[in-house]
Amino acid sequence: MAAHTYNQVGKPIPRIDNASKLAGQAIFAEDLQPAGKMLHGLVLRSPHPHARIRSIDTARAEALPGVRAIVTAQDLPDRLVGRYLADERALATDTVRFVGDRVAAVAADTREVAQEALGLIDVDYEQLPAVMDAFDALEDIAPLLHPRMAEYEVVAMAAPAGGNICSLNELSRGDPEKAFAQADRVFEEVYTTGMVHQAYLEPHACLGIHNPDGSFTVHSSTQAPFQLRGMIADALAVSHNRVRLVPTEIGGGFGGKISMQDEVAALALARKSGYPVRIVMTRREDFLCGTPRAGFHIAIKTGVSNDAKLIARTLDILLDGGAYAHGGVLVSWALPNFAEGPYNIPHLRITARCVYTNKPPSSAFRAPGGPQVNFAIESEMERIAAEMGWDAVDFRRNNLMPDGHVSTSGATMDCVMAPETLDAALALSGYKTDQTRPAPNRGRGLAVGNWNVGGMASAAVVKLNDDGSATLLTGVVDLTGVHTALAQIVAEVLDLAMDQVTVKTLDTESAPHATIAAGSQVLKSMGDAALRATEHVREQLFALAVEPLDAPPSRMELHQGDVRVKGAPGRSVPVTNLLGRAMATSGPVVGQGATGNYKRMPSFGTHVADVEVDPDTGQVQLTGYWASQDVGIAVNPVAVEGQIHGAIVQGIGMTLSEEMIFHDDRLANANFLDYKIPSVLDVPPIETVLVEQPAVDGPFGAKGIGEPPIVPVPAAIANAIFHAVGVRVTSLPITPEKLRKAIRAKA
Amino acid sequence: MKPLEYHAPTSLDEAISILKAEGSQAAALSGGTDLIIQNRARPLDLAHMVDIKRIPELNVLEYDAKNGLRLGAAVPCYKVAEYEPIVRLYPALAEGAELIGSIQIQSRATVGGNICNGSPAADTICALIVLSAICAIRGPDGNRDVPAVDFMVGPGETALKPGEILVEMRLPPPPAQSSNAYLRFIPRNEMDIAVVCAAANITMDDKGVTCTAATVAIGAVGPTPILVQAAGAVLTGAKLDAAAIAKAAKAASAAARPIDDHRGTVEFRTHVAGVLTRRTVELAAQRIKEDAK
Ligand SMILES: Cc1cc2nc3c(=O)[nH]c(=O)nc-3n(C[C@H](O)[C@H](O)[C@H](O)COP(=O)(O)OP(=O)(O)OC[C@H]3O[C@@H](n4cnc5c(N)ncnc54)[C@H](O)[C@@H]3O)c2cc1C
Repeated sequence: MAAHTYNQVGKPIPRIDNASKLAGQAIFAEDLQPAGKMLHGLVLRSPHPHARIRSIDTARAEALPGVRAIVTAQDLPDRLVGRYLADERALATDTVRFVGDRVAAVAADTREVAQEALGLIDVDYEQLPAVMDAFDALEDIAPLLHPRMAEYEVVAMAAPAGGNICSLNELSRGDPEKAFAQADRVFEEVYTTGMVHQAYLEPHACLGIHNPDGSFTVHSSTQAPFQLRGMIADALAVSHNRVRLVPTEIGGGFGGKISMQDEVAALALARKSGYPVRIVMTRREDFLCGTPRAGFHIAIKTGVSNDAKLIARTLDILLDGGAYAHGGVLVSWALPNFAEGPYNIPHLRITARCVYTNKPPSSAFRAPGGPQVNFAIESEMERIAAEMGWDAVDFRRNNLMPDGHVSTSGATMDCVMAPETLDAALALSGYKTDQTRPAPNRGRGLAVGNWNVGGMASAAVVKLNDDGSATLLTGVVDLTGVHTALAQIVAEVLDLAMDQVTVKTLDTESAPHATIAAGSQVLKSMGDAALRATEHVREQLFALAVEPLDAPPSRMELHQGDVRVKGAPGRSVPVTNLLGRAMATSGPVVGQGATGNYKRMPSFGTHVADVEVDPDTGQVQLTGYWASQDVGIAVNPVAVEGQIHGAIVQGIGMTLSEEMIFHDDRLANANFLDYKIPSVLDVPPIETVLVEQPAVDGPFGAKGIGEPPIVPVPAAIANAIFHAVGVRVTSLPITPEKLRKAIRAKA
Repeated sequence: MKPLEYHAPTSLDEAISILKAEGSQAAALSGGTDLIIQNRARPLDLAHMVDIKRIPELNVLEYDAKNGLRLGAAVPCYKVAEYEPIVRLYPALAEGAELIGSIQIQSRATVGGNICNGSPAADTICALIVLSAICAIRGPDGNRDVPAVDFMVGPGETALKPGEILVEMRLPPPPAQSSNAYLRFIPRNEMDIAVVCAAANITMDDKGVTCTAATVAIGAVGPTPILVQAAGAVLTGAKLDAAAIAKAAKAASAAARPIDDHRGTVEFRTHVAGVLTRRTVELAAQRIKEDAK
């Protein structure tokens, strides 16, 4: 681990937004109350999974006192939009494709009136056959969700392949078929995972305003202000500068707040009524219309040699993309890049197909695709080792990818920390490779996870105030506490105290372009932009100090409000003096910094889970959990640990209890009683260890950390269950009912 | 949504007269942890809520060895779960009350509300049944008593007639050498609705060898909670060995009439009804042994 001599970086500094959130002062979208009259908007959503709209009659609703505007597709330009594939409308024209698809919207004086008005809109639907399963959607006879898919514009990454396949992505190396033929043993298995919702605390909400000059302002709880602004402007057929997107505080997102929701409906209502319109989803609406993690069907085939080497593997992955190509397409595109796992397999083919079904459109959720694929890979490692009589840890170690590994996509992997995290987790948990069962029905499992963290183009501005304190202006929202880390970076470079740095999130009109707050990339991309902007400030201060200090900038340093000559403590000048000089000459000190898209970098983690299984009911209790995580350098270790803990809890949910259940083509559990996230009593004590090794190009050596720690959770728990009771449930979630059935089948 | 009128009568007669006058537009409000949510989620179209928590008769909580326990319908669950005589003598009831929701919910929720809500998954009803509780009801036509086992008549339906209020539950003093237990199965560790639940009440002979009386009830496996008479019958007169208990468990599974839904299948619920029956019987027997020490 690198020894650092930093003042702020690497310190466990509490979140700078704690006070405002604890005091209830942070303003969320639902709190927004513009001066003057505001209307309450509600969206009429399809009650059918698949239907043709014959007609919409709004006359009765319009006649209801208190109703100010009703909009349908007729009030919007005839536009298909989409981030990857333009296949969706802000309001449906002739077809609805899932229960919850937007049909019309109402703005009224009160929410109650709007609610009543929804019931008075007469929609004549002709129901169409629905397809609720990705496999069924591949059948020749399956109803086509998007018969005109071939005409859709591919915006990015999507590779439509006909039928219901909105994206088919494949990468390979070597010759897997030939290698299977030569392998000593070949293993095949199928793993499936459920559709899971991000279950953030705050349902989607937005406020739309139509400005007197005809432009639009929209406040939204979003992770992706710039992306969303683009989508909204496209749907309204206006140029991007005509939509000002103001991101609000965000009550959790986890990838679920990247897509467009009701923003365009709110703006259309605002335009038609002349008043600001706020739309706040109910929890039920959010379950119906959110963009959950795709359910996967993974066929995995592995060839090994007798010397415990992985020789060949194919992964055939089917993603349940839901009704529209949201982030499911991105996941399909990304899968061939990371689904090789943490291993080096000479002959490999990864095929991903994202398939339309009449379900909510699936999209990003913390390491999208990561935990699903790792569940298959790491379950197989354990199963193969057991069947071959190998030590499962040695088997993994034998095959881990080396530093400089060339991935399926051809990219060279730097900073590969797979063995280090494996060792760290073994040490932390006291894992013995010759593990015997500690007691009947108790077991311990391990999994090594990999994920690729990246960074997207971002720019930032740092301005110095007249007393030398600094303000960072950014267009990225704070989802994880990352603004605290950004402040630490600015404070570090300028040698300021934390309370001398303010981080301000600006709207899309004022802020330079920023990455989305997703993909474990904010600290990396915005951190780098902030670092460069701060360095730019420092550069300007040093230039101003050349004359008074009579020294070249290369010999200068900042120290508690002074610029001084290194090694000559007497020679210093206060920053405030320099700022005074600047005002008289070059002008205020403002720094700017920018970075482009980064090559994605691998990140690793090894998790160990202890479980106790009740064999009579199939219930699993987690009794201990240990996680080692490759983090580069932790700019803020408490924030990093918080991310690890949160990811593990979400991972426990998708492993043991969370799943969107569809009965009779409808979501049966659109509430927190029946959609079962873990409660605090379901979470075992968690111990973490940060494996620190500076990443080659992160700010202060930092690597993204938000997503990777969810990746190994399902497999670690599944392996522990196998160890405890000797059975393997290959479909997530491993509910008591499924596990008991498996235990009984074995007995 | 209609405006809602809130009443807080301090006498039973007053409460009954409002309930009677307003008919289906009115409902008794105890902790409100079922009622308020139901009224919000799918408006019941209530115009009146009659808060019954200020009525003295509904707040009684007392025990004596001769008459047993009197539990007012509006006593909050946290008090029930903490009340020493209940913890010692009616542990099944304490266990049910303690499982309802969370600490926050338990400070509002009441046992009366739990059973008047009529859910076959309610966490206190099985205990009340095996403990032979009597529900004391008062209405426009006066007082009547209904045994807990007959209190629920269908999902969401109880023996209460319009205008009637559940005043208290009376539990006979437990015989010597007896104890009881309640367990529920949920897929997580708290804040959930029973997939299956069971309670058992066991009395042993003086030597602690033979079971002289046994009652078993199971819930969430039928439209109403089920008193499993066959389970009681196989245990009564038997030594509480594994074979006898297994028979009782089998009887409970046989008596279960669950439905298939997203919370559990018929097969699973039927099986778990047996598992929980076995465990509650064992737990009750264990408690008798411990008390004897
Ligand atoms: C978060 C949460 C978790 C929960 N967890 C559980 C759980 O784990 N287990 C469980 O069983 N329940 C649970 N519940 C449901 C509920 O809390 C319980 O059923 C509780 O005991 C209801 O009591 P109450 O006093 O709040 O009833 P209320 O809501 O006040 O009343 C319920 C019904 O009974 C009627 N009523 C109440 N008292 C009387 C009376 N004296 N006479 C006539 N009618 C009456 C009311 O009109 C209403 O119809 C949960 C609820 C919530 C919100």
